[in-house]
Amino acid sequence: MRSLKEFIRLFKATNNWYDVVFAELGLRKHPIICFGDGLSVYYYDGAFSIEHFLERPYDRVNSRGRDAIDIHAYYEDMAPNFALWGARTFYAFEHNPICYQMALRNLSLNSFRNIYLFNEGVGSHNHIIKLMDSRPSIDFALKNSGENGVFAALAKREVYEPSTLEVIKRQVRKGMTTFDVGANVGWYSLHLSDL
Amino acid sequence: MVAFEPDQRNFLLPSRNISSNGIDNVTVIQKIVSDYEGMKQLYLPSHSGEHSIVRKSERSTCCASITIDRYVLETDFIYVDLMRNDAEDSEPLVVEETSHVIAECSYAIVMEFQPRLWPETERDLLIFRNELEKYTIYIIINSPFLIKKVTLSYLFAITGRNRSVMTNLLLVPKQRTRFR
Repeated sequence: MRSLKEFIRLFKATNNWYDVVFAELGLRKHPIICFGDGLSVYYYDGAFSIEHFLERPYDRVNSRGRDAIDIHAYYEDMAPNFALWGARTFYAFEHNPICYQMALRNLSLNSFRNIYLFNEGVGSHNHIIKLMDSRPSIDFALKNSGENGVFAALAKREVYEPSTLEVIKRQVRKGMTTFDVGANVGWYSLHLSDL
Repeated sequence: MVAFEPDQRNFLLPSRNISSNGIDNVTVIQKIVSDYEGMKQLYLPSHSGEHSIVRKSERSTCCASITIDRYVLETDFIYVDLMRNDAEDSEPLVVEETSHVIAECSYAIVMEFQPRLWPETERDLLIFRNELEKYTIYIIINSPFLIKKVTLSYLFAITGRNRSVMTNLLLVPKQRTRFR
């Protein structure tokens, strides 16, 4: 539950603060939150930090007249801030198609013409990356697992059991047959499938 | 690549991840792997990563169970090169019932070693210990070296002192009957 101080800050910064409260109580799904400076964003419960928009950490960066790049844009909270403060062009990259759609919806709410959003990842070389999907139980698992296991690692965008993964990769060569007992989300199966 | 995941809800996760990534060389089998062929009770604690046939919880379901030996006999696999064994406290049961596969293929095993609840499997740990005699044992560690070779007696000594110890092991057969 929010403290009184947080409520006051929310009340001051947004035109429809009550929608945030309703969303946090589970009474409204994905409401549009309108901020006093004209910025609007969809509220995604579980993936959204309203504090990011209230505190505006990027305001301290002088972006006026400059180009900016956002790698792993997520639901794109950064671009509207930068565009609002006068960035010339903003390039955003989000590899996850679900987050990309979220970001696209957020950008469509605001009429910025200098933001370019790409559904691609950015890495050291050109290749196809694999994405892990644990949507049906990720929130549930995080609440009940004591923040451990493959769900928590994926939610934090960490590599699950990196040492074990590396050991297994070194054991397996192309064309080998491997068994994965207790596959769960298929973390190891996916990593070994293209060796 | 063959992935085993018995519970319906968990089974959908690897299946969907594999199809959404366009992978065609992974087969997901909705079965328990254990020492038993037939139907077996699978306990379902709240954390979906901890479904187990030995660690009891209030919720449970019945799932088909198979041994690795049986699965290999029924399929066309000539070689099995590596098995990752994370059967949530029933890892010894999986390893014990792989004698045919081991004899024919001599594959490496990566398994979770957490003997905290193993006595509940009602199996004499000596059987499992005898199975481990066939392997060179490495502990997987978080260091640049990744693995550390240990003896069987050392492994059971540290787990004897501290039964809550949990580590991942790499087991490499001492005698490979077939080489690739």
